Amino acid sequence: MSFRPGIWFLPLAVAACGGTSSDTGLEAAVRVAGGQFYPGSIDKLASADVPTVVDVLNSQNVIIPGLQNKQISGRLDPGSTAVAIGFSGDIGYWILPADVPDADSPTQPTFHASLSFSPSLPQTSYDLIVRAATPPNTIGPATHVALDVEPSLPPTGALVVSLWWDTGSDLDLHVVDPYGVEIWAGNINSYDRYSTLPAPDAGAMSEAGILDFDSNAGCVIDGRCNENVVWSVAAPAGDYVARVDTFSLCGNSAARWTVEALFDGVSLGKAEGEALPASQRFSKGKGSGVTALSFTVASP
Amino acid sequence: MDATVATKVHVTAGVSSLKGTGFHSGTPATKNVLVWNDQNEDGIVQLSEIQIIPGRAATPSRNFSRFAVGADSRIGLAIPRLGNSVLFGEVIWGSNLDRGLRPADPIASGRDLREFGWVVGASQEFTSWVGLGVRYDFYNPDVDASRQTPTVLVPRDVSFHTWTFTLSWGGFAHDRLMLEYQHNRNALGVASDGSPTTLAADTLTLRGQMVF
Repeated sequence: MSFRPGIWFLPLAVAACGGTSSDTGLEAAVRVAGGQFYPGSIDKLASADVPTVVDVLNSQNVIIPGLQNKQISGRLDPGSTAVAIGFSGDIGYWILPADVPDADSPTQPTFHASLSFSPSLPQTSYDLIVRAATPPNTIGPATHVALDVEPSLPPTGALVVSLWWDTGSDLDLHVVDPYGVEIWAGNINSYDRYSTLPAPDAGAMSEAGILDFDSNAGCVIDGRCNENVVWSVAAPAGDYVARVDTFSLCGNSAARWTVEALFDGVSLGKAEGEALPASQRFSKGKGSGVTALSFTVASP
Repeated sequence: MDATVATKVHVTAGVSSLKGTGFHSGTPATKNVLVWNDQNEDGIVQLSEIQIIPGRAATPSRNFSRFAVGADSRIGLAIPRLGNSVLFGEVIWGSNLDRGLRPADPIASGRDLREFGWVVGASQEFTSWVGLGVRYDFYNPDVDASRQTPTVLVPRDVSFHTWTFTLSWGGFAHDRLMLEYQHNRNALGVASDGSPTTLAADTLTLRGQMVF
């Protein structure tokens, strides 16, 4: 046996430094989509009198740990070019470039931020700080938005079918109702919109079975690892089937899952299982997944 | 061109070009989708929160033209007892032909993307056991880039600038260690006033080479 002459290169060490921080801010309590993370407290930034945040539009002051894509928006003083957003006392804050003004206030730049929160947020109140910025690196006074963290409780409703799992994987809950309609990420509502054209009946839609969230969709890990299909008012009587589809384990070796159906708070059945790499192989979409639970809702 | 212009001086130079076609993949057809965006976060479906996104027909895949031209030169000087000195440079100009840092797809961007770059560098051997090298690399993957500020559309410099310093120990045809530091400037970060700035990307790399 002989060796052929050759050259092997072995990268031994890589480090990074210089410029704006390459820290992705994953350890921060709040994250802003498309924003640049800056380590350090937003409270301690040197403050000027201007520019100010004219207003902040926030529809809900209650958040749950792991909440994704909470939208806040607002208007800034003329001349503002960016906005700094972060929790008071957090390990860092986010800089987001300002957007073009709205037509009704053409001199005031706007901002539109999509916030995500850490799944490990303690149940307490947080002070979300928003500050406008102008060149050269002038940061205006803080505008405060109070956010209260409430525990992530199972949703309430006449019939709730829940799926939980334990790793950052993309599992999907599929529930087939007695009419054969399948509710899943590709059809989040069992309401048949084509039956009442031309306009959907919002009332009927809200009373149908609704999937509340597609957790970890596309391996964008949101930390919830929980999906629920909820009939808020009344669920049709008949036989239901709940399936669990392993869309992707997202690099994890397995995901242990639990499915439970609650009818008026009483368990109709509970099942547990494990998603393994082989579970990812089959086609994804309507009808996919393994049957986890079958149960019947009796006529009232 | 490859010539020895003096006893210890060696010069090489060349030009190159590439012309061809790139590929833009099409998209499949989409169905009508009913989207509920819980704008007031009350958990209740309201008519104003429902949006119907109409389906779209599939779009076909398309080819696009692309080209690049480049010129490079290298001058080597063999210094007795010290080692070889090398000075080199290269310039490139292209259209819709990226260098792998940022994809150039004129179909997706709606316009042709012009690229420009140049490199200069030098290396010096100190005996056959120690080598030093330095290189400056400039590459602009889209010389026509722009960005929207709140009030105006302004040109945007998306170029990459890289200083590279290299120190190696060991024979060039034998086992050796190479320490490389790269100082990068780019436009991938966001400054506190919202303008583009460098996102930290400096690297320090230690490489080992074994010849067997």
